[in-house]
Amino acid sequence: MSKTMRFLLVLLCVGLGVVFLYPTVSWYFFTDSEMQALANGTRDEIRSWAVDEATQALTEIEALAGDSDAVASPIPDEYAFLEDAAKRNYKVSNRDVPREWNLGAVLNGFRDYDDVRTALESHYRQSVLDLKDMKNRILALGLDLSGGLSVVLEPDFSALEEASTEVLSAEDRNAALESALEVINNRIDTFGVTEPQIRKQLDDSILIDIPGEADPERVNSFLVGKGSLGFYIVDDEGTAAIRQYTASGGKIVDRRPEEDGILAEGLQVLGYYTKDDYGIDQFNGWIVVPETAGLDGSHIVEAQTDTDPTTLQPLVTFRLDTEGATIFQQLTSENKNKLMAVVLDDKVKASAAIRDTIAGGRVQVEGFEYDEANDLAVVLRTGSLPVQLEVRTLQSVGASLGADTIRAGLRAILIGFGLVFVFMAVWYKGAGLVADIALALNLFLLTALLSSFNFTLTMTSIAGLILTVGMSVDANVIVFERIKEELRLGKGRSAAVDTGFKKAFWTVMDAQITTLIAALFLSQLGKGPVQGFAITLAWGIGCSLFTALFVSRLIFDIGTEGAKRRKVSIAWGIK
Amino acid sequence: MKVYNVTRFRGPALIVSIFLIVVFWAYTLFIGDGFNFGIDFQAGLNITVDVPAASDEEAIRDALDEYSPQVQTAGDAGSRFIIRIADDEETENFQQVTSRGVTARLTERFGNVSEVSEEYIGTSFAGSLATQTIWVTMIAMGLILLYVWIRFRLNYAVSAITAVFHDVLFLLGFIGAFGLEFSTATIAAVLTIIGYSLNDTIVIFDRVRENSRIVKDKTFRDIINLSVSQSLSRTLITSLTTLLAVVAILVFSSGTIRTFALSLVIGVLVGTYSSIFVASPILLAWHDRDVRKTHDSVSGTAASSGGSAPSSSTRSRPSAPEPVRQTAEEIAAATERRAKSKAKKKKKKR
Repeated sequence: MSKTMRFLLVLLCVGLGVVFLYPTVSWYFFTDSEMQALANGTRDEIRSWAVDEATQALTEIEALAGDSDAVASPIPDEYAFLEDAAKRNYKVSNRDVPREWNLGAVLNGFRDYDDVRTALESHYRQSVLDLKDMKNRILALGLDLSGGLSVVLEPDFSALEEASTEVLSAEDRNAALESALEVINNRIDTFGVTEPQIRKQLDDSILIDIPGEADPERVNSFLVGKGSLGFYIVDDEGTAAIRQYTASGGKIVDRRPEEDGILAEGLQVLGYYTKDDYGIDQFNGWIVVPETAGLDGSHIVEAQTDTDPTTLQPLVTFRLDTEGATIFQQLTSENKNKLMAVVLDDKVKASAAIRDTIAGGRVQVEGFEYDEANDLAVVLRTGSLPVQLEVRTLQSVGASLGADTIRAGLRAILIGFGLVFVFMAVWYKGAGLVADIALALNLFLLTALLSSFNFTLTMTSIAGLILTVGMSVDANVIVFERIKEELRLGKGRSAAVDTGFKKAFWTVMDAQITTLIAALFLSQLGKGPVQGFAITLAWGIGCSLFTALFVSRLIFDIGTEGAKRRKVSIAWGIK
Repeated sequence: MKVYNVTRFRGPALIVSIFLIVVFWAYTLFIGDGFNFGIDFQAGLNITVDVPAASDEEAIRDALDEYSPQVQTAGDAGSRFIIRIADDEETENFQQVTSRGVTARLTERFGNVSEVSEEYIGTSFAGSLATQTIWVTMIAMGLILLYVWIRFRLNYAVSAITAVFHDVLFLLGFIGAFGLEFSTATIAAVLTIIGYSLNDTIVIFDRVRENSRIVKDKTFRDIINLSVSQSLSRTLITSLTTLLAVVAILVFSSGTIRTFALSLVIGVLVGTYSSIFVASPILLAWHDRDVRKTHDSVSGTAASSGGSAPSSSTRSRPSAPEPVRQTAEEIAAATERRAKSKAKKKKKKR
């Protein structure tokens, strides 16, 4: 390959690097934090923001339109985008496009102010959506750096297996998982946090990343709560029997007393729990209810939260469908003066005496905490999960901790990089500068490459990056030591450089490929931090091979042939 | 150029290496508390909290008595604590229940408590990670062995891998003896060091292979000494630049990453040492053993008067073997053959 071709290839790589890196740079350095937060938000949030902005802008434009000077002068810069929309409108309605574009002319392009509002709104919405789109092409920050919550949920199919008569096929499992994903999606969207990432992983687990949400508690109740809710009529006789039985040391196993004969068939024992002041479930004794619910939670159409005006306690109001209303009416009329228990996920959450027949399908229940009541309402609105999910791993990081980590990481990179940079220049003189150029280019190409596939930067991948800095000069060191030896043998610049690179080539390759093997295997290990480290390292090796062997060779060759240099500035002792 | 007689130190080096490794491991297993397995390997909950009112770790431990937690101070301010509680595998919804309980107890005792981060690893994951790690490491080592075997020869590969085992044993022993947390980051460090140490060793072996082709009038021992000396400046400079970068992490970070950086520093040092003082002497020892074997078989075949020669080296010079030179030549021949076949392939491609 001729030198020009090689130079063009390097330029091409740098050009690609700039293209890949552009979104990352403009996102982190030229986008204000408010817009960043908005681009992270849900579509609902974006819409309401666009509407707000449009309303504000419209008020301003209307005010300007009342001022004849402003009408005659060009449209203010921040609304210049309206000109394009107006131009299109003129053309569509076959009117003459005005020669001079002042505010009046622009506004004349629209039918009315509502039309202007639509144009404004779509512009603002599009600007955020563009940003959102750009966000998919940047070097993202992992949750340990940006703060947030990451949960891996593991499906437990055993309940589903019991419920179905046949053996579950892979398709059944998949379908159940897919709908579980759907339910989680709905619940989290309703929850109104920043847009979460919900992914099914290869081993059927579900990964949920929620940036900015650091409280593991709240989200947890959404994800894991099965939301199986039912109304049960309490069996007073059984409850009394069980109270007596447990008081004398009897144990409850699997919702039944350990000894036979205490409780009639068809009944089950559930714990009654209330929340204490710290929100921990407190056991309040056993309650016996039939195994099947008097009214199943599936009849609940809607759940709302209120505050009871007299007791100031949170109040949940369930609205039932027609069938449910009939069942409930019958249930309450048949069981007057008995206790009714509200059971959520096998725990009795509330119980109250039935004083009168409840008709009309509206049920009010006290006994939930406010947050819990809200969560419950959401859970019921979005349906229950088809499979039970268990938390396999969970990680939550406060945003401030993340910011500290980034600062420390960046400082470590800069200082490590600086030290290596200076050392190489001092030790190898001119050749050291060549290595430095290769090193800088290496880091640049590596970050560009990682941004291009929207890589998520974590603490460990920063470590990988730093290690790359240290190790990538190795290839250059091997080559330089070889060149030095050749020079000591009395060879000239061109011959020494040529033999040096040639002899070092396989040494470098062998050395780097063994590291690459380790890195590639590492990337298969674990799902999170180690993987990030390994991927950075692997790509770092690739980039450093390119820069150390190809780019620095080119620089040397240009020095030899282009600048007609005869000597190599490579060490203090060798001239 | 000065040639250092590194093989002279193989005895002392062997003693020092074995001594340190045995001491570290014995301390870890019999005197110390064993490996300080992090959350990745032990199902449980890791909670980092800021508790300004808590005076020390003991106070936190006392407040959370019922969970029997491990408490560690983090950061410089002295009010940030990392609390680790193992999953007892009995509590349902362990993560939620315990997390809530811990915050409640701490608030009860100290008032102002803010949770900085939380991490939970379930039982199934913790188990699978450990086995997965061992497998992945073994397969990676196997592949590296295979690669070096193909590119060099079996004795080179085995020597290199032995040096790597030495490094890994040393590093793990160090981590155990000094009670550093054993986490996923530790695995990352170990695997990095495997790559790094091999890298170092291979650069030297590459030189040995090349020299044994060129230099015909020296013993294998001299060739090794020459090769180590020739690559010495490269070995030291690369170690230095890598250390510069890694020490930067060590100084400017905290928590897991700091432990990771410390492991890397130790690993780079021991990896550099092993490529000079462990890998090459093993290669030499292997060679000497081969020589002795050849010698024996030669005298054996001479005694039984004729019979097919057992190895190629004896065939070429059946009478008075000069084993050292021969093996060097043999290596050279093998390399040349490979180079030729490669050249052929290249021609074909064109």
